[in-house]
Amino acid sequence: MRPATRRRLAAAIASLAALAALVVLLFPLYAVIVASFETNSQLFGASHYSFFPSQFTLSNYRVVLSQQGSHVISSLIIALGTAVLTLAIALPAAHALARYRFRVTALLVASLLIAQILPSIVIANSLFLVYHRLHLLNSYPGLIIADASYAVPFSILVLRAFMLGLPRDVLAAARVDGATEWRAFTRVVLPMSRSAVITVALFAFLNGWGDFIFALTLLNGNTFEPVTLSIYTYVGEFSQNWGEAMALAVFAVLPAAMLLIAAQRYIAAGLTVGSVKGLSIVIGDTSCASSIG
Amino acid sequence: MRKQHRIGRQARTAVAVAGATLLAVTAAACSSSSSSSAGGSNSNSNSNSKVTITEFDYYTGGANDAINAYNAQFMRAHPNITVKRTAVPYANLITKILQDASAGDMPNLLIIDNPNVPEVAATGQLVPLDTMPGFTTSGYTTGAISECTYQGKQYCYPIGTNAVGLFYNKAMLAAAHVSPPTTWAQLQADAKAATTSSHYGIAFDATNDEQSTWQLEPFFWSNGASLTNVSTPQFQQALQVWVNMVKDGSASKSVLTWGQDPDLTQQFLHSKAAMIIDGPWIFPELNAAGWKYNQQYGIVPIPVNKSGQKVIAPLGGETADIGAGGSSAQQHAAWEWIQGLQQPATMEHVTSMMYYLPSKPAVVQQYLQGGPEYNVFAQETENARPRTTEYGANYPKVSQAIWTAIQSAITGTSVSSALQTAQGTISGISKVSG
Amino acid sequence: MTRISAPTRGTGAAARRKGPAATPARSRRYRLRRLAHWAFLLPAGAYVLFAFAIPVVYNLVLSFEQTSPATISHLTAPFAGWSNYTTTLKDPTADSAIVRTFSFTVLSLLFQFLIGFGLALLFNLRFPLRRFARSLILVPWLLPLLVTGVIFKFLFQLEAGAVNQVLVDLHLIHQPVGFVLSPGWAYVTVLITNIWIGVPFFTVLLYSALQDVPPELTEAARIDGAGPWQRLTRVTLPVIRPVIEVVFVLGFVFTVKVFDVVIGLTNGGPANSTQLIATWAYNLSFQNFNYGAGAALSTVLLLIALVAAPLYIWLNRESLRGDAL
Repeated sequence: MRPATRRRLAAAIASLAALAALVVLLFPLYAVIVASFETNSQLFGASHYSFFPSQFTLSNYRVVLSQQGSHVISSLIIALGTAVLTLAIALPAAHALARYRFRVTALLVASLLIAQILPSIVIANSLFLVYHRLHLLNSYPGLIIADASYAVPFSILVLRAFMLGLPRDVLAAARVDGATEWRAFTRVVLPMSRSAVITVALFAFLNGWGDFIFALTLLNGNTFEPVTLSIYTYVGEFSQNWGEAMALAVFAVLPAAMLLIAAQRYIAAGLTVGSVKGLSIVIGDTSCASSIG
Repeated sequence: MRKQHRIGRQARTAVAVAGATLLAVTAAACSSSSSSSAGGSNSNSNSNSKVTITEFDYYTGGANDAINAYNAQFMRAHPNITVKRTAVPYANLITKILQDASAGDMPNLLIIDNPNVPEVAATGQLVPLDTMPGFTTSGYTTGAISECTYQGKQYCYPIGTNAVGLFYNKAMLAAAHVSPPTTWAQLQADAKAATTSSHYGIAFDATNDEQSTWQLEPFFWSNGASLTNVSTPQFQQALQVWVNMVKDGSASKSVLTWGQDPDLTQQFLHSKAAMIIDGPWIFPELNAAGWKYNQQYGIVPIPVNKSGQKVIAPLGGETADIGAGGSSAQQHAAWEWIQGLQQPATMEHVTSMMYYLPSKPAVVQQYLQGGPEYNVFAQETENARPRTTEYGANYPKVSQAIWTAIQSAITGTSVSSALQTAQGTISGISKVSG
Repeated sequence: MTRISAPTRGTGAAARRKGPAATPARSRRYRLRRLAHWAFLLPAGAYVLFAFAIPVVYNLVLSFEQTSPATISHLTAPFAGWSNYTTTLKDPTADSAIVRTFSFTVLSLLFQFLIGFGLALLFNLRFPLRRFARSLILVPWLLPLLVTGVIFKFLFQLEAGAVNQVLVDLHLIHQPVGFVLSPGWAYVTVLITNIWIGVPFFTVLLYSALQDVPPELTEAARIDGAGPWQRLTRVTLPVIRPVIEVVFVLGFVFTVKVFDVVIGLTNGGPANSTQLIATWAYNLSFQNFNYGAGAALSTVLLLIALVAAPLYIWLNRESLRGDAL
């Protein structure tokens, strides 16, 4: 076999293997979309699973839109709130940890690393009782504060890693010009960190969007509920209405998918920063993976 | 029982249509009854001062319509009282109530599932009703009164009662040449005979929650077993019946995940199960699908081990309770609300919209004339036993030990060792007596 | 306001060290700047205190208290000594949940690494579909974990389930398997689901590490006569070892606290056969309203997770330094 032919053959085999991996990784999503267009009797009355549906119906989406629309909006509020709160906390902190000398910097960074490790159930267990006293149960602020716990430590670490890489002389120039610390931060650092900010905001948004454990423990259902919680109760109460449950699942996945497609290059940007700055991006990347799934 | 309010989507439209007509009837009938109630107890409330009471429940579907109709009618009869209703999903109900109770922030009126009453009463945040003017326990079924008793005091009136029975598909049993079972032996034989390649002989609820304990209770109680000692032969025999039916293929292993409603209902309606254990809360779905009592389906009591044993079913249904903390005017307004529901005509209409049985035998007699499909449940509720009699506030813990044993036994652990494990847990649970 | 605030001991000392050259005006400006520096940290400090430090401490306090629904409204309850720990850990369900959490974590990480590394090597080859496949592999990341659990519950159904259908069509099984209906299979199903979730993460990180392996190194090894396997074990693996270590540490941290997937897929059943520490702690606190017992088990989980802390900090030792460039 000539080397060129062998290379082509290897490439073909690799393509096939990649395709097979993709089928396994993506089939569940295909099944969800198909099921969301099927009637309950197609899904339920059938004696076996059909990979290609015989007929399509929009009734699941009609039901879900009429009954679950408010939950999608709640999820959006929570996700946006989580992103805003995370940035408000993480940006100044990352700037300070990257730019100023503190004797406790190492301690602060280490405590952020440990904060990333804490299991959410530990936090939820205590926050429930604390929130009960503070009247924060069943409230957007309460839930958003809890949801930000996924993203805050990781965001500070990633933003700091990025900011450490910013050219130092630009900032020095700003200071020489007499800019206050705050002005240097907002006028110089923030614009230069744009891609990292977008990356972090995106992940915080997705954390808020995908949160389940805090919604489960800190809400009791008579005010609002996010999509994750409503899918859970939906499957619990109407467990054989798979068509509707899957239409709801499509709604749970859709905004996140759109965001990630639209902002893919910011994720790539974030990853590049990380690879320059060593392991810190790996941390960030992992937190996203774990909380987004 | 908890799944009462969960009416399937298909049924919802039917209920809405039926609800509209029923509302008119209810309004007419209730207005006559409420005037008598208002006349009887008006002396208790200050006539002119305005009172707002908060009311808290988890009703959806037909029950939702019923409660809204009753609230509207109550406010018409009591212009000085405003009822503010909040509905919460069932899954969150007890957490929410316990939170409110511990914060001393209870609603004035609460609708609580009966096995949870002692748990809530134990927080000291429910008002005993014994002291209320006109309170009486006469005229009610025994179970309906004892489910509301906690440490010698009465904390509630039932909104209505229910129990589980055995629903069967008439055509399927006929095709298998069997008649509806009355004993365990017949049940197992019938289930086996009625199993075909396209459907199972029976389906029941063995999920990891209260529902499966509640469905097994009629089996072991009728056989003389108790919650206190679950490793007795009487208890083992009862659980063995369920295990046998799954083992020999008469029931799907999926019973571990099928809730009473809509799962079992769907199995039944899609002709996937010849028999199911379920209760009157599924009537709206059967009606919506065009299934008629004594035509497509029949109902018999839960079979017993040996013929001649009496069926002892657990008593289901929600209760109306008064939260502590309100002003005395609010507490009295709440009491008026509960009293209004006790008027025979109102009780009959509200319970029928909610697919409950009335809690007064005299009303039940009237009720059955319009609904023969309730006969079996009426018989059973006469002797039904509240679940909280022995363990009171700790019943949920006992129940969890039992449903865990049910699941272990169905998934392969021997019945005796599954129940021994449960007994180990139960022995450590104290009786907070009811 | 800030102008007249008393200098803190730290800044005062710093100012003094500057010696006689530091005029009062200069030292005041210096102090103000220090205050501004600290002000940037204030929101994060308050947040870490409220959302992490207080909950952890309070959870510890709770685990030594006798709680009941009636004590919810009080921040403290009667002291219970070690009884929450002893009763909770004596319970066979909690014991098996702890053991299961360990085996679940080990098996998840093992398979996630093997599959993820295999895919990373695959994507490191040159083939037409590479870019397309690499961007799509991220998709499982998009799903909220709870939603993934629910979707897999649907796929693994006994009646008309997709997975059963595939296996029957391939003649691998004759009868559909009740995947979430028997203890052993339910565990395997949760495990498979969790592996499915974690593979993209392993793939992407290991792939980016492979990209950083200098081609000269492998080329040199090839010239020296090393075969593909030797090049992998002698060159590639040692080079990407730091990344592998980080991936495993983080994988451990995130797998021991798995919650959403189990709740969505099996809810801990059947017969508690898929309860993990986090789900059982949830059950104790929020279904049995025994917050003390739930807190005790949560503390156990916390201690297990914290085993990874020293390693994690050590792997990030560079970021601990470097407060200025």
